[in-house]
Amino acid sequence: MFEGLPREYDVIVVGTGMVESILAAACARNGKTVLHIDTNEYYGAEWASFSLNGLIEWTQMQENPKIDIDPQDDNEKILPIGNPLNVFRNVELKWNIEKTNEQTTTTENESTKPITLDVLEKQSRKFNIDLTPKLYYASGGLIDLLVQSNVGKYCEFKLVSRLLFERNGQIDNVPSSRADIFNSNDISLIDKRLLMKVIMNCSSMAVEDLNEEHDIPFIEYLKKQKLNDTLCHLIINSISMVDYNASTKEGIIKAKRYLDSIGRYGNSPFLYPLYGNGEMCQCFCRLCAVFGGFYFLRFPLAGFTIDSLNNQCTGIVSTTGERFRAKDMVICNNSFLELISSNKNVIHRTVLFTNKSIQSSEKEEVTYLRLSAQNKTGIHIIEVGFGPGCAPDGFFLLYIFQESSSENTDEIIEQLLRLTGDNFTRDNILGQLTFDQVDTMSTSSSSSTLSKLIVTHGPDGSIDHDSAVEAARNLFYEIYSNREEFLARAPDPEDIIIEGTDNTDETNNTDETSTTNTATDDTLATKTSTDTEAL
Amino acid sequence: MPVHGQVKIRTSAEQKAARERERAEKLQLYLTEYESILNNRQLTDLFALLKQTENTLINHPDCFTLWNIRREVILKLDNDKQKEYLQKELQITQLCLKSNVKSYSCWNQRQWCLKQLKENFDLNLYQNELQLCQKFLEIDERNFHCWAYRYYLLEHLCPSSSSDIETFYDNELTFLRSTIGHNLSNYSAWHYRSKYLDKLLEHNPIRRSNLLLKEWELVLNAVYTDCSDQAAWFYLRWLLFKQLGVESITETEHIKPLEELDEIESENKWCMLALCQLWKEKKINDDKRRNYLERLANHIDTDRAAFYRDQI
Repeated sequence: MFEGLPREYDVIVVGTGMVESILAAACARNGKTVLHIDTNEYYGAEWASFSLNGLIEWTQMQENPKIDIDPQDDNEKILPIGNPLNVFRNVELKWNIEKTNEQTTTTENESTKPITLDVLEKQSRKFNIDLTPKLYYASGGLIDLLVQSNVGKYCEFKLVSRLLFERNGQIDNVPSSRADIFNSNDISLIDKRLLMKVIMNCSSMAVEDLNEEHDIPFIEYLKKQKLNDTLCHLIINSISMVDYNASTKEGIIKAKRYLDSIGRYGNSPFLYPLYGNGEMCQCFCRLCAVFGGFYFLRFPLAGFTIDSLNNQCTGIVSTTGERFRAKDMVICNNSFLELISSNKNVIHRTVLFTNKSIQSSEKEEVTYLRLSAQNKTGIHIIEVGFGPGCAPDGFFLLYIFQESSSENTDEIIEQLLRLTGDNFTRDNILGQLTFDQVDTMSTSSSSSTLSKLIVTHGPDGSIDHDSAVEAARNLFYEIYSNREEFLARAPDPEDIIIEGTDNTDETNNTDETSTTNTATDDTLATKTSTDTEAL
Repeated sequence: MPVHGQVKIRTSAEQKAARERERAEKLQLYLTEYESILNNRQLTDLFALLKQTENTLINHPDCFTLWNIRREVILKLDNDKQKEYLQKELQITQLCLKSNVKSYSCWNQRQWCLKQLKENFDLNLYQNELQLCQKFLEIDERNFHCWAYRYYLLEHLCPSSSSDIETFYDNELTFLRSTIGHNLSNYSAWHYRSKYLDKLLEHNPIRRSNLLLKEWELVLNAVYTDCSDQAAWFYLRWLLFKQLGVESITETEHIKPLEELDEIESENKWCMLALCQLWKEKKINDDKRRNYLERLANHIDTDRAAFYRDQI
């Protein structure tokens, strides 16, 4: 099964999660030979997206039989891998609908038949369900990386069109731009001015402007600006998106991030990828492949080969004893190493399958609702549907998770149902998937006793990818120091010339040498059916 | 990756050189075409001339002379052909506008075409044009060419019967309200709002007090939301002094909210100036007024010091 696959590389990357994929792309882009493998038969690992049937299969995941490999000589040691799927615990998928409608009621109107699971399964491919749902700030972080590296041309996004928060026991739209505030009927004139003032201040403040005045907690700072409780909550919860005990510095920096992101692609600071978050890992893998990286899914991995004299990781070994060498480095996600079993921090994640949006709207929306209060960490709720290609028409996915889990899922769902009232009830919940995801970010990489083995982590409970991008960038510079550029922009087809052909200013673009066969866009296009396309 | 032959990627210097070469070629082509057109101007093959100018204009839509030539040619055609070609002209300008939405000559040409077609007023045609304006405004809501064209169309689309006119004006004001809702700074929208408010009030003076009350609420909302936006302040002053009139201005309703705003935003020149003008007309707070004007002249807006001093 390994016929034709080279046995030696500069870098071997184990796991196709976000951090690993960005690193693989960065290495390949700089001319390193890369072997990128995953033991799963899909891309994305903890960040993957599945069709409905794919998800159901995933909930029944198998334990790979462990095979012990003998070292081939006295200088070699073998470090066996653990089951990477052990990051997931307590996986439960419950349906509130029947499996199938066995009555042959031909007289009954199709549309009044209650929905059954087999109907949903027939449309399995229209679902794209994230294990790790995330939103993308329009400025900074992953989006900047996608634009800078030109990987952005492999993916499309939708604007998160609807931002909601809790106000007086109900769900309301977040007024964050000047236009929102102008059009709001719920804020008095004076409050509008005070709110705009704070917003403009946060936007224009630079980090250097922060001084001792700002050493107070953020909520106190906001009260000093004469904002009432509702507006303080608005800013803390939905603009800065920090905890109530956050510092002013943190609050202002995050508010600035939010406000800077508005207007870049539309009247909202967040984007969501078409077909779900799993696409992102694939985009970076694609760049890696285009620059010569080798890909092998369902790799029968037994463990890592260690040179015991130097205590150095030298590569990987398959369950059949085939060895693959890495000259520079092996990069591996820490879920493959058995360290994580002792890890206590988990992220509770919930996916609800629904047949109605939590707040009805005339058009397709991607919704983000953040709930928080004094002494309670933020709860992230993301709703996607047909618009971003994540569910069949008329169905929705409701993702619920917390920064650091303190409340249990049922309580959170109760809270949500109280807010939505009659618009959205328990009857609208067709099915529920809950699972715990070990927060591998807090695992210390204790395998640092081994050199040439770089350990990456999985996702955290935050709403964005910043930590993953930061980690990838930092690890890259750790490996290659500042000699190399991190994900330089891939060239556009017009700028590629083939030497030895007769051209002075013509561009030659044969299939073998072009780096892309998709249209080149200099920026991301957010495609929305009714909104204007942003340029 | 490279299967055979070396693959090179253009350096930025090479990219620049390639761009320069492209530009030079384009320029040469244009000059040749232009010269040829001028030579052919007096010839009798009108259709060929139209074809030539069309080809050049699509790449270079801002050339006045070429549009002139086209107008000359179209006027020489006989009536049926003229109508046909005027319709075509609209399509051609649309293509040209794609490359430059703010081309004076293109918008001008469209208006000229409509003027020529006026004897055969075609409602569908005007409605289509209105749709087109909508699209252009979605791309850039501050494209003043498009706004001007839109109002040219509305002048002609305005219904004649009295009851319809009122709905027509109301609809327009609703459209303008939503445009302002998207972007407070849209000066064109505020400007046309003032024009249509005038027309509506002239047509139906009974609604005056109600309408003006709503307008006042709207503009107050605007200046409170963004107190540094000129467009709203200009509209506010127009509303107070040109529409309401000095007698109707009251202290509680009009002056007080601005004074409250002034307390929150103490160095806002627009607010201060508006208050000074109001206090002057109402003959109150003279000392405070002088004080404000001094501060404006000496500290806050020194560029216009003379303007403020004149008002003392």
